[in-house]
Amino acid sequence: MRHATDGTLRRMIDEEWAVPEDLRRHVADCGLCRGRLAELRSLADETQGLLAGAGAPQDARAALGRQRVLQDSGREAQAGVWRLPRPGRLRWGGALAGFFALLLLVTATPVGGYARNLLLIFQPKQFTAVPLAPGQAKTLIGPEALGALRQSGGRSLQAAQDLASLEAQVGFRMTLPAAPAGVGAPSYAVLAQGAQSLTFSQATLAAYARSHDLNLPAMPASISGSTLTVTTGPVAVVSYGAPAAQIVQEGSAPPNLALAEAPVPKVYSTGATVADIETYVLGLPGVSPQLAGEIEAIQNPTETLPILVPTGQATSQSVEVGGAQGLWVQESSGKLGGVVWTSGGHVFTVVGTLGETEILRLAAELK
Amino acid sequence: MPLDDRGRSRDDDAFDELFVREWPRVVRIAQQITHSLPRSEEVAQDVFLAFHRRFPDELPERPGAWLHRSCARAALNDVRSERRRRSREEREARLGTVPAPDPGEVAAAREEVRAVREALGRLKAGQAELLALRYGGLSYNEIAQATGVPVGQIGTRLHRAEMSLRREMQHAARN
Repeated sequence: MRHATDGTLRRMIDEEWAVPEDLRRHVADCGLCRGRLAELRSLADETQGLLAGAGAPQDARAALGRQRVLQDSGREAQAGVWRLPRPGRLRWGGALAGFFALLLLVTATPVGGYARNLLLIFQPKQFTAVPLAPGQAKTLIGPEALGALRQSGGRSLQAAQDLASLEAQVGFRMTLPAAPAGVGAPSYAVLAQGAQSLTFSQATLAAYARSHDLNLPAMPASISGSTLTVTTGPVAVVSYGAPAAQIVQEGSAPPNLALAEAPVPKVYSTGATVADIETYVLGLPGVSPQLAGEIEAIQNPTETLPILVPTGQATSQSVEVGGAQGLWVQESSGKLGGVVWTSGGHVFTVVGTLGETEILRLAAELK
Repeated sequence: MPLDDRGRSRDDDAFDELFVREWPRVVRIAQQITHSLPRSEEVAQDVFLAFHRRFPDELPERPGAWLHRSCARAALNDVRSERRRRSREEREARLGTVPAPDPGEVAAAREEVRAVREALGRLKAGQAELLALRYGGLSYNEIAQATGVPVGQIGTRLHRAEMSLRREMQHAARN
């Protein structure tokens, strides 16, 4: 009988049953074929060691939820979008808590969670502060006036048992700085990956205008019917001095120190371009010419995330974090401050009551 | 298209069933090449979106075969994209590896992940795809369906692909 070919021997390693009985018997009796089989098996083992193998178990149902949102919106054209939280609506424990929520929302903002947000357009790679005059927040029209909102996943923070569990759930590793003494024990939480979309609708806008007795300009045909979709998270949160899963709940105490990391959100648009939407949104009643001018003056509008900093409640300045440009925001009482920056395709936030120098030192060690 | 009381068609349900059944395997195929779970999920999501656009009304005869091959190709295109690779290199190298307290071991693990990914990127496309499909868990019959290669030739081609990967790794180690 002829010796077995390499192809046959290779299949014997994976699917022995598929090789004819007489050939299997030959290999068992033939020293040459057995030796060659051992060589091929060694190479297969070597390859197995190089490749990734089985990997972590997959949550197919959660992925299907994201898929449905993306399917409904399509993703042919890409554009950046971000919704800026309206500071006046962030009641979480008063100004301090609201400020932390503002920073956390950079990494995870459910569309439906904060009804009155301003819609802006960009792909966030860096952050810049835009002053928001007192009273301005109250006049902004939220996305619920502009069309239909949909959300899948990523609705609330879920506690994780420890850092290993947190990393397993988010799919990336966190290199945490050594926490200073006295900040308390760490706790961990995850915000699952989510997808949110807004489908612009002239009909929704007209109904909103009627019910609020407003005289709003018609939505351009290039925008009505377009859908913007943002996929966010998963977000990893580590908190010291307050339970990580509760830090954005209304009435909860702010943490002494908290760190958050997430992939930079991905944003998709059908139909309308970045310029279309920016022009339209900034032209809506309630957006002051000054605010519109500040946002339009951003040099790289598709890469820069404007953060509305309410005048009199917080101050901000550009800082460097490990070679990346970050934005430092300080609550006006001086108690709470935080920094946000992006690096390697992820967005990072560190906030706390430890002061700018200490927080920036810790931020530089977070990777 | 008949709709049920939720406004969904029978093909929507068929797609959902297909998605839930194939998602883990499609992610695993991508993972063989990208060595990054988040990136693999992103590749898989793109593949399913492309599938949905391509077959909006009814599923093809062998939907799994289309998904598997497309995913292997998409993952390969991903690692071959220099721009993307540069931007994610540092982060991805940390993924999918066992945590090691020794910084030297961590660095070595990152380096190996990078070396394997680059070696796969230098293989002929068909060879890298074949490795991803096989080590992603497909049977020889399933590989034959996905690639169109007769099942009797899969073993031979798989062995050649493994040899090519070994050569590429040895070449990288010398340089």
